[in-house]
Amino acid sequence: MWLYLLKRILAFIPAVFIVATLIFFLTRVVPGDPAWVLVGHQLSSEERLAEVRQELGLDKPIHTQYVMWLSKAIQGDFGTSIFFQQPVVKVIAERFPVTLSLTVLSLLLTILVGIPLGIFSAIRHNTRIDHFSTFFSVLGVSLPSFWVGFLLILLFSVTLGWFPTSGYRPISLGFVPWIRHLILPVVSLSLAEMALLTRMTRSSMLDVLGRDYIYTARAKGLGEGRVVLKHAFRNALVTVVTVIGLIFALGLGGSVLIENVFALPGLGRLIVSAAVRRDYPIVQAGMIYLTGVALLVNLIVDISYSWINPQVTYEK
Amino acid sequence: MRSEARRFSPFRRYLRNRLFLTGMIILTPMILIAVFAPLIAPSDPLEIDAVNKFQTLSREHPFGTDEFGRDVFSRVVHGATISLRVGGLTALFTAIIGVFIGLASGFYKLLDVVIMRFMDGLMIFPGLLLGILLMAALGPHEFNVVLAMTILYTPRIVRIVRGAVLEIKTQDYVDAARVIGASNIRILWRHILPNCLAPLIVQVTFGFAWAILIESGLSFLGLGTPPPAPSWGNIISDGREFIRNAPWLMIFPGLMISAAVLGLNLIGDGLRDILDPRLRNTRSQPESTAG
Repeated sequence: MWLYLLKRILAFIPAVFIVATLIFFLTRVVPGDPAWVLVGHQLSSEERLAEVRQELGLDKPIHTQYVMWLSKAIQGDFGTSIFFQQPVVKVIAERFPVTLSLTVLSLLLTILVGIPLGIFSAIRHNTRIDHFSTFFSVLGVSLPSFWVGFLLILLFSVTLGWFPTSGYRPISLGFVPWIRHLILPVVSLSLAEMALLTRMTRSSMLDVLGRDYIYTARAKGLGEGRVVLKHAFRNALVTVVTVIGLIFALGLGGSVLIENVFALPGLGRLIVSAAVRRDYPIVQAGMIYLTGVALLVNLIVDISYSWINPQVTYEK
Repeated sequence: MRSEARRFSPFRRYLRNRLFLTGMIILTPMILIAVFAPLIAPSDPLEIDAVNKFQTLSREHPFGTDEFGRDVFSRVVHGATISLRVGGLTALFTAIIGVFIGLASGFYKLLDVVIMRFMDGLMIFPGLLLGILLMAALGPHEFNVVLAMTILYTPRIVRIVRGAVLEIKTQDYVDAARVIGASNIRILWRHILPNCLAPLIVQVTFGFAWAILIESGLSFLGLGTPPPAPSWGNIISDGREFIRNAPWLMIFPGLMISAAVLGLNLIGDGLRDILDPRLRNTRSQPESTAG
């Protein structure tokens, strides 16, 4: 077990390294000169441009730049943002809590709705409730989340005035303003997540409920609640946890759209605007943060298997 | 005799599947709109009419007009052409490339390790992020959207095909073919590929739906099909500033995206039940962007 843990954690490092390398080269094939962005079009004399390129290290060959960038990145230094003229780490640190609030709250809501709905529709297989939840789960993955966000704004902010249309308040300014600004974004982001989780919970429950040990449990005279939760759900949980990891990663990607709809100052929105501005230090670091979090969640999911199902052994 | 034949005709199997049928009922009009867009749209989707800005729904403008006085109905109709073309091309390319890579990976052990590592690497990135990066690198162009989405989705097709190949490879008929002297290429082409088709078709259908969603998301961010082309995501993006006064600008294109994606997902679910009942509730699932 401990050996497995160690192996997994060690495997995490090359994964991050590969991602970082991919991101570096993908951001650097982007046409467009960052020096231009910095100097501005009006006073861009050739000398000034060359000066800036030298400052940024852009005059060196790409592999030298890569080595320099990587050795600094390992120490947690992602350079200076070309647009903000601030350390990248600082710019990202300001925005990361927003994205984390949005995605973690969405995941919580998804779990609270998706799992009960999935279990319920499995034990009421082929009833009206089951049909409803099946329809909901197909519809949920088919609606564009950013559009759902606009519909929610239209109904709850513009028409009813219950929630602010956009913006963000940090939790340090109080819980209520924080949650009021996040409710609509969280609901729009989690709709598709709920749909997926409901669907997967239902199908893995249906699978488990048909097994022999469920008949045995029922034959022993156990109560239905105990059979469903203790015997069936515990076994369905492996699939469910995998899906939860997957959903969290999806949420990180989806947050880009939702942050744009609700003008939340998060990491996703930062990456998009930085990509447009060719502010590649921000794009690189932002992508590494988001992908790193996704990988970390993946790792946690893998490790939690052993806790859910003691049968899982990790010898290879 | 005749009724017997009819009961087992494959055509009826499709029509009797409620998911497939509902999906087709939703999608067929969409395809017709996309193909005959120039005939259906009352006016040019790009024609600017400064006098008639922000008209509400009327007989001349069933979906109103936008901030340039362009007819939203015509734009939405032409958007069907763009969205279905982009989605359809992505589905086609991922299918072709995915089959080649998937067959190679499943059949040749040496290639497998390298290919699957690479595919896993591509799938590490959460959701849209790699798409954003690719589009920023490639620049906004309709073909680049197709290219970026093909790169994003191909790993999923490869996985499905590879999984099927690994399963089929061990079947007796493959050994039998080898014993009578069939070449690897012939075995792959004549014996393995036809047996991969069912899960492939299902996954490609979901990929089509996925591509329409992703294209709309990228366009909404300004990184997809370049404006003023009336892709559905672009129309929503244009309309976002006017949500208070002109909500119709974004409601109708959103409805079209939802309907097209829903239709395709239902068809995918239906096809899975019809073509490969063993797969029910397992491998292939509609893809969500959560986006």
